[in-house]
Amino acid sequence: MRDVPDAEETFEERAYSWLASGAAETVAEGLIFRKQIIVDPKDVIDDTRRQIWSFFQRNPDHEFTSPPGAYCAVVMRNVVNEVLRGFKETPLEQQPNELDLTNDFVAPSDLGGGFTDQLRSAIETAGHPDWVTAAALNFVTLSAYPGCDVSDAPASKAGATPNQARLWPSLWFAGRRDGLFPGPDGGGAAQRKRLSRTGAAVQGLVDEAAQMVGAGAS
Amino acid sequence: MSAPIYRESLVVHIDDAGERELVSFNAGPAGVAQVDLGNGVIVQVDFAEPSRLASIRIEPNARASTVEDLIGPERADAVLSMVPRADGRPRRMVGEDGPERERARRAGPSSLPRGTYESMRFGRVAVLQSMVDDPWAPDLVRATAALEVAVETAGDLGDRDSIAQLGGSAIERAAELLDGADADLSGWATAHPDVARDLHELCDNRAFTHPLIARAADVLASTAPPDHGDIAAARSSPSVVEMPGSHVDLKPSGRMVVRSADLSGDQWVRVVRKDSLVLLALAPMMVTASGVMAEVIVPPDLTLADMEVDITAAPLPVPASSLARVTRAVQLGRDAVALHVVGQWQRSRTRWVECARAWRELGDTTRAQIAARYADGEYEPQRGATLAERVRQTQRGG
Repeated sequence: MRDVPDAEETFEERAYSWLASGAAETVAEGLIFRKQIIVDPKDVIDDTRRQIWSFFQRNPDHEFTSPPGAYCAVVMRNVVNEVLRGFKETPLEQQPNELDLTNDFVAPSDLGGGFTDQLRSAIETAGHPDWVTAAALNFVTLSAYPGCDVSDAPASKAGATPNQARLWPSLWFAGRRDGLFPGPDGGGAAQRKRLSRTGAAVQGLVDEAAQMVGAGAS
Repeated sequence: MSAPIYRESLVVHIDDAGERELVSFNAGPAGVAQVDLGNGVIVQVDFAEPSRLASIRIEPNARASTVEDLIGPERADAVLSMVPRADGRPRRMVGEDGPERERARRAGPSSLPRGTYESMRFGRVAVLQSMVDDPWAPDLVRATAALEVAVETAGDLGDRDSIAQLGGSAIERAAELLDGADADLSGWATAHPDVARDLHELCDNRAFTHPLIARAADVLASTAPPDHGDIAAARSSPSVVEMPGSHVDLKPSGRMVVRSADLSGDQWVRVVRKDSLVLLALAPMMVTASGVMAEVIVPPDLTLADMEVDITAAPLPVPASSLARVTRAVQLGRDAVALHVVGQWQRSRTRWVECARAWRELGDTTRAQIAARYADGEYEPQRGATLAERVRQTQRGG
């Protein structure tokens, strides 16, 4: 870890530098020992890096008050503390209120079958819950083959973006059905928020996979 | 002043920022249930045996009274004024269980002390709160758990301010979640009248004055009783139970319907491309009026000869990251506990066996052995079912 930060480096760069240092590994080992779990400290650091990257993407203008090492250590502590809970809790303030689906996803069929397969493999191995993976695979299929019969699934209202139109049947055929989709009256605020939150998880996985294989939203 | 909830010996870790972590037991194979008391204090208990404290995390700005509620004023004062050792090693704080724990440690894990009445009550709150916090659990399950948190914390545990506050926020959370689950509450109640009746009783509590909870109670009360004859006929329909194995039907528009005779629930259809083994689609097997089936979307330019269709309880590969594999092992243990407490013992046993295997593959022989003992019936989860778990069971298809 550097004692004097380079004035040119951003907070984000300094955070990644700290995570690459021996200090990060020492902190990770200490946390793992305390919980008496057998995990590779490098996996803890990788997960921490992913969470920090995700936070920076969502909050590019956030003003940090603590040094990068201290911030990373807190995130790392939360990563280790959560592992024995069996799920990752997303704090309410980190959940989107409205899902931005205005950018259309590049239809993978336009880029050839090889790309589609890479995208599907990235989705399968990204380590997300079963239903998120299922819905993301549906989303890719419906992007590539808009003519698939999804007439049984609820449809978003007229004027929806192509992504919105794909997302509803993607979730429906992944088994996320009960009470998720608003009726003709538009549903309540809680229901819309729940749909938005659920859709964001799927869209997030598709975007993550697209970045892994070198493509993204147009 | 109420009695402290935890009186056991603790190991105190203090980090550079002044945060304290009081560690009691290592969590077992089903991991922990966590409750955030909101004043800079987070408690984790064993998920399968929630009277057992795993750890208490105390942030530097934590409210002292919350720590006192948990471990009593004298020990709270000692912990909060404790300075870290120069060599960074943790400090030990002996509790009332000193000799008992030492005897138990020598005799093996099955004879470890089970905790006090207060720790059992608080452990149940932690289990319920962990269900409320699980972002991927169905809203109705989370809402039910939140209502149960409110009820549990209104009793003698609620003499402690920090726990009473937890109950207040649980009511707000329950109302919000019930609002999200409201659309299909009536249909669910018709299909599951026994559990719905208990949920109605819970919602009808006079202490819950929130209009959204009252509305849910009204919906549950007004739901017509089901026609038992029709349901029984649907369940024993020859087209469901007499179907051997599974049946796959692929339509030209990319729709595949997979039917199975397996009514156990928690099964997924996995469709891969035969030549490359790339995963094309996943879909859950769902219990419907016409049997157990999954509806799948696949690329319409493929034929059945191009694809392999499999029905499995584990649709995704074991993750490469050791962290994700620990999470998966914990999920199997949590599932095993949830199945056990609702009386699904055979399915619970299967999950414990899978859980033991997952821990063994991680090299954690201690947790693997404990999970195996749960599978053999030598150990049993030390708690009863919550209503939230019974609601969850109605949504699993089991």
